[in-house]
Amino acid sequence: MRSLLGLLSVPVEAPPDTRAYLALGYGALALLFVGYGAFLWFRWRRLR
Amino acid sequence: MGKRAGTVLWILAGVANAVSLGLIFFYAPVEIQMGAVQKIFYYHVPSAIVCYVFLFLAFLFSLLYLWKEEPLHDHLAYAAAEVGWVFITAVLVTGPIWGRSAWGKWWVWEPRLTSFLVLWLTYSAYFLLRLFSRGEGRTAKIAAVLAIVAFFDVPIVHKAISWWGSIVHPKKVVLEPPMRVTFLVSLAAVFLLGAALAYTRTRLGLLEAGRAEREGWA
Repeated sequence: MRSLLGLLSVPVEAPPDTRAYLALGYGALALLFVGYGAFLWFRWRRLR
Repeated sequence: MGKRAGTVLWILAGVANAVSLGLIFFYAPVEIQMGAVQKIFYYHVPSAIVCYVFLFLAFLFSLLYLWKEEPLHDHLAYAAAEVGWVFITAVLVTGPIWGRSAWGKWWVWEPRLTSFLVLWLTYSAYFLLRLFSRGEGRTAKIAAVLAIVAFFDVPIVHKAISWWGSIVHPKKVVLEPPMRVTFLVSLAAVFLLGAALAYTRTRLGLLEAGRAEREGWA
């Protein structure tokens, strides 16, 4: 059992924790598209 | 091209982007060398491809406008250029964030990045021209010429790596099957988002100019 667990936990290089950058990237994208959507929406409102 | 087409496009874009984000965060594996930040790839690269498509449409409609002087072509060119510019910005915003994490630098003055920045600046000039000038016919013609000239930077951006090499962009990307599926779904989602934005922007432009009914976009 011990040897099996040893086999399963073969050291694999763990990826670095870069989730903060991922959140920043998708947050910036959301801001850009929501911002552009708001710009179009205000133009619609001005029209009506 | 009535209201209904727009509603259908927005529903498709919403569903496709929800599916795409689900795949990105819950299905696509974490890349071993770069970690989670590599998932920016699924919107970064499709945004670049979709910006090429819309800038090509702006180029095409600008040519048509100069040839036929049909105002609808000018509205279509303006909308395509504007949506293309939004996607250029998306690429320029996500790229440095990914780069800072993967290479340790926000920006590198290499051919692909520099030519892409030139693309953003050129289309920014296009909007400054549109925003700060009056006199529809003359402005539209100058803008059409600018959109045609600006488009010639797109093949330069595309070929920059094979012509001059790159220290940060690979020549070819090989994706694992789950990554490939996620990428293709994201590409479709970003394209649908662009189409929905372009539709809304064109209709808005026509309504503002009082031409929507005449052109069948009311």
